[in-house]
Amino acid sequence: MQSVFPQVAKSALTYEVVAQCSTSKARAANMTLPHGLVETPMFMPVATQASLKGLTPEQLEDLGCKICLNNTYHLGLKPGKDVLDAIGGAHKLQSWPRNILTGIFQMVSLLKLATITEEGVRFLSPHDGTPMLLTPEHSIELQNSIGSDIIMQLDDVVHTLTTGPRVEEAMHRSIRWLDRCIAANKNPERQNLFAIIQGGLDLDLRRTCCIEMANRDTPGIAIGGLSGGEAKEQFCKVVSYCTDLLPRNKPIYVMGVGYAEDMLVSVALGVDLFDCVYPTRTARFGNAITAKGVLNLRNKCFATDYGPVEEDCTCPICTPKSNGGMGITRSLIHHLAAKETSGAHMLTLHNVHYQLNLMRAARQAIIRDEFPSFLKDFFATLHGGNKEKFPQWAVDALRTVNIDLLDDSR
Amino acid sequence: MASAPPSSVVPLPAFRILHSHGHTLARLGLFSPSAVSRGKSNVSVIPTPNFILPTSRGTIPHITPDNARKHVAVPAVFVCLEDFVDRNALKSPIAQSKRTIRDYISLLPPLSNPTHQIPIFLSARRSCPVPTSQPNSENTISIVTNDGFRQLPISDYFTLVSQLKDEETVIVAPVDLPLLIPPSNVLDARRASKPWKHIGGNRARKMVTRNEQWSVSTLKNFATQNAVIVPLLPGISVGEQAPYIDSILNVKESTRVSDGHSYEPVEHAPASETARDGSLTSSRTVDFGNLPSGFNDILRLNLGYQNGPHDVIAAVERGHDLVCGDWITTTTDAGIAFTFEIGGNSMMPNDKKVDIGISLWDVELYAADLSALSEECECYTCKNHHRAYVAHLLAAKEMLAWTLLQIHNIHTVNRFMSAIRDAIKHDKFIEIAADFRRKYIPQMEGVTPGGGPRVRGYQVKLAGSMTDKKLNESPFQNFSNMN
Repeated sequence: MQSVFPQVAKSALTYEVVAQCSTSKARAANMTLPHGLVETPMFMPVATQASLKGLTPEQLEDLGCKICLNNTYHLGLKPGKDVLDAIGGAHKLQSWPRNILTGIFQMVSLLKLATITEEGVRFLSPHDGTPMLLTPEHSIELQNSIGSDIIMQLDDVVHTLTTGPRVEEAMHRSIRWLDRCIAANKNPERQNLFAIIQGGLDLDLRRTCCIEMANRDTPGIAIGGLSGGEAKEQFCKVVSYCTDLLPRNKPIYVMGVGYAEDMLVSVALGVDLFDCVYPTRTARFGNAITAKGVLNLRNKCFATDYGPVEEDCTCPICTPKSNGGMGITRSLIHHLAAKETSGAHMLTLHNVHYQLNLMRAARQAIIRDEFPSFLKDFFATLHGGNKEKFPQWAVDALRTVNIDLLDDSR
Repeated sequence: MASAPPSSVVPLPAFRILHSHGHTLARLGLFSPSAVSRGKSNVSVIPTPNFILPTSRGTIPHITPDNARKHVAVPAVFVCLEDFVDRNALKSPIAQSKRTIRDYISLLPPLSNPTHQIPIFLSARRSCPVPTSQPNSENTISIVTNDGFRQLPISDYFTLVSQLKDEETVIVAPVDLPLLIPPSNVLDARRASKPWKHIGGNRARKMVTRNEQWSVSTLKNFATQNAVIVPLLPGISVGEQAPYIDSILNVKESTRVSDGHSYEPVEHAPASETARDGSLTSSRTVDFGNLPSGFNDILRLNLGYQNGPHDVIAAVERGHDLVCGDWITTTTDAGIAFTFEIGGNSMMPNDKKVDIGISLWDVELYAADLSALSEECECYTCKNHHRAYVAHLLAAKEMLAWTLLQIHNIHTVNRFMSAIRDAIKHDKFIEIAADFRRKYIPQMEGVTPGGGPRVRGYQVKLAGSMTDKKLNESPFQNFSNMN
């Protein structure tokens, strides 16, 4: 099918770089969306079904979260488009006064069940087994009903490790689908459509895709098809390659990235936005993310550990009772983990705070133009000062942007 | 209401009746757990009739401590040690912590009243205990811990309680009851009201001896500092347990003599009617009228499972001051939002009876319903969210559904209890109770088509669990098995 476009998208956001790291590609920016300011770099917690895993919207807002994710596919099934239209969108559904970004869904995880044609994605509903067809138009229509501040195009995702002509086909199809998505967006004045760069690990395909999609002038651009099991070196290479090609006046979003190291290295490579279910999911397994690494609090050794989950952490659960916090101990989390849901909720509060706070700290470091030394401190703390433990991929990737983690001079 | 404490050393009684209703045994009172600071202006009191909320592993089910202090005003919580100890009680993490139970579980004062410490009822076993495989012995009580059945020495219990209690802790004496016949399903059994069978002669005598020993020790150990709850024995006539009752009342005399102080421990020793298992809730029928007059002006705690507000009204009519609130959590788990109120508009004679709540599992009905869970409710959930959201969260099995429901349901019951107290004060209790019974259908079926929240400790039934149906169906199944 020959595309009758290209389309050019409208924008409902302003993106203003407030500081640029003088060494790397890291930048701090103010992105103003219909539901308020988002200060980048920013991690966006994932509230798949219009709820951030046990937290009230009030708790999430108190953590300083300005934008969270909902999932178009899940909301399309429950509560469904008709209900969303009747209620007036996802903000009203969940009483969330801040911004929402809607992803489509990880088609990768359902690929076995899906057939992708030029028309759209045909698959059997995992809920009741009925055949469904998701077209670019349908996905945008749903996201228009949801009313999210950032909406994502429907893209043709192939698994990261796929090689051969299928990758190229998917990349070109994603461009054609972007045009259909732009044309279908009924609310460009209040819903920002982001393009998703595809092309697998093939830099030439990524290049074509970046240029083509940049021509559509979408308000923001996501780098998709990554974090699906590829080597970290390749991930960094693709991200860095894309950020070099993409326009500098638009927010760049890497989808599905949530490990602290990955996010910080990506920030150095010029990325603004991240999302991942990792911090909330791992909380439900009893894992606390800390600056010194992940603690599995179900481990017996924490049963009699009466310190806070993380020393000097300013999250609601680690802050001592005397300072207005909850004063939760590792011992209590051990006592509750995987047994009472409120234990999971508490760790979710901590982990989301960790992610948001990490990005806030990175932003401050960029503004002070101390981002390289911030990164060195971060890796030193994470690995107990042992440079031999620094991951090689991170060292290599950061060298490409003039930061040498192993060099002590500042 | 408390008059300024006189300079004398005589502490005020733990429980004071402020007003008795003429025609029922219902009464208005104030209960203050701490014997030490009793009568001081900043002391934490529980206005009665009221409810205490059983915790699970020390937390109010579904509620984190920050939400609890902001949005949930529980009058008191019930905490059991069997949720915290393992093989060796004195080496369990909570014992090694050297903290009070309040500190360990982070039970925080309400934001609206930062000096108020929420009273904690500290007990060996849960309010609705799981039947154990072994009987109690002279010096140990059989408990269900995280890693199996254990025998908790009574002396260990006292040691632990000494560490864990603070001023606002109420100590519940350990109770010896016969081995309970495991009900086939705890949740069903809680709702059933099978009567206690009469307990045979030897077992009854054993019960009297053990409980006498345990209750008297608890009183002697703790009653000078804290309020202590001792049980009345279900399944035994008042005559049979007369020696036990006498000995509890006698502690008063002996302490008065031996200490040389004017403490009145029995004043701090409210009688509790214990239904140790849901299937045995007819212990509610312990008749306070037949008890010695020494029991008249002490607190009456009913640990039996209440099946909704009608049961609570009945308990208040029988003169019970505190009831257990586990029915609130059961309702929340069932996806039901309470909509009842007492003392509001009267029924018209021809009106149909209405339900005490709405089941938000009914997505068809509530999917786009933007009204509050209950009209004019002022709780966090109703002020910020709507039925459509909670219905969506239930359908999506999101944990926030039960958090929002629990906040609302506790708030509703708080209002209910407060209206009951108000009515007793103004001698209107009989009228509003009758009105309530005319207006509401007594029981609401816990319809949970999609299943409840993840099954947790307080719902676990040990006996027969290998063969019984699972409470929740598996959320996932093999794709190829679907139609």
